[in-house]
Amino acid sequence: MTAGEPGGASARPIHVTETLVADAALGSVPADWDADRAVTALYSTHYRSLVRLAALLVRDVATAEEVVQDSFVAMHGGWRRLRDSDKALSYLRQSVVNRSRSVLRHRVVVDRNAPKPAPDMPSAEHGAIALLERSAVVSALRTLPPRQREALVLRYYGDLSEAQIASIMGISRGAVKSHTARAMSALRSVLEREG
Amino acid sequence: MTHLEPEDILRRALRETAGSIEPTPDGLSRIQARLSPPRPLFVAWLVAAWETVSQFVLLRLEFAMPRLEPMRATLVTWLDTALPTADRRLRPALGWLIAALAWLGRMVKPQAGEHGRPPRYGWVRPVVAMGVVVIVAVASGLAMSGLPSQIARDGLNVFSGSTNGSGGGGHSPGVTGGGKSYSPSSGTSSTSGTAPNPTANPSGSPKAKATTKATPSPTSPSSTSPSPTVSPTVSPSTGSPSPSPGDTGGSTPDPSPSGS
Repeated sequence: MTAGEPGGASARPIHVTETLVADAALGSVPADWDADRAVTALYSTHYRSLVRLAALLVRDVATAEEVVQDSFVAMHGGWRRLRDSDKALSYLRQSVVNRSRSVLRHRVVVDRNAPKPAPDMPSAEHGAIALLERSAVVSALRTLPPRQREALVLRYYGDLSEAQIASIMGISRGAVKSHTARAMSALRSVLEREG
Repeated sequence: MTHLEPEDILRRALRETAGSIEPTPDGLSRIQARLSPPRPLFVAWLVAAWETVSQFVLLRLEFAMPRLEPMRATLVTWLDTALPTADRRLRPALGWLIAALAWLGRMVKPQAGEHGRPPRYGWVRPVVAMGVVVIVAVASGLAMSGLPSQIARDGLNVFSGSTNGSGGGGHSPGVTGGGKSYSPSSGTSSTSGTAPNPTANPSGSPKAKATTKATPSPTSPSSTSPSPTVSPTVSPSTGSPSPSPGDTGGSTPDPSPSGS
């Protein structure tokens, strides 16, 4: 398996991977490819953008990498059951969003039961999150409900259509519209201040 | 300065934030390290179930250990007194088991105010009771299995004590009147008062085989199984008519302890 590290010299400068563009050609692999080859190809083109998507959702880069790696491993395991290999990228996005949701759910439970740290001792996770929330907009994004946050990230970072967001989140297009509108309304004061 | 739409502001903020995120370059190697040949679904289910159950049990045990420790110590002490012939290696395990069952039974005991309706874990109590019965039966069986050797040892002690009038070690098994014990494996004497008693070793150990070899037995030369009844004959100074191993075998040995 030829490794194409995203930051390595062998990686192609794919500028489109900076956003999750809805380009079917980038998310599809030939149907006769085996799972190893498909994972390598999808990794070299989409790993970085998927990690960034997950990091915006879970607010932690290390956890985001684990989430994306889990998604790749799951896709490799279910490669034969993936009826349409053209949907590999969609499968990965959906898996990343679902796993990010699970991480957040688990984090809520952990935070509920964890002892309170001393106020002058910020945790390492807190430092990683703070790195992601230098922008007031992004920190305001944190206050949104998870579904609304997912809808905004997929819409404005991933540049995905409402139909794609609905497919990834497993909800209807109307629900996507509703989540997006409510989230934008909640963020409007912060966004106007930034503008 | 141009006025930006809220959507553009959000898009720009998200991309700026995401642009500062760089994943570690070993992502593919980590993914490849985790890739393995797919297992059958049934095996995967079994493995997952086993991991879940084992983690649950280990967590529960870790939580319950401090509570069980006093009960375990008490039960081991009780077993020491109640089951003197049981195998010592089994006692701690039995103590742990009984303590765990007792704790389980206490845990599922119906609380006050629950009378009149079936308890939540009411089915556990009969199971616990049956488990206790099984454990007691096993422990009793172990105790009974050790009883014959205990009787034989006591018999030998009585035998040695009654014929050995001199010496402070008269109650030590196999201790002669001169304070020496006979070692059947080597055929030499030692001064240790706690020399192993051949009668207490019912298994076919080399020591027991040496005993039968040292005892001239023309009638059964091929017999290698030690018998407790043979043992008293190896005591050379008991005054019994049985020949000692040191004696030259002109006479037929008497395997039965006489004079007791």
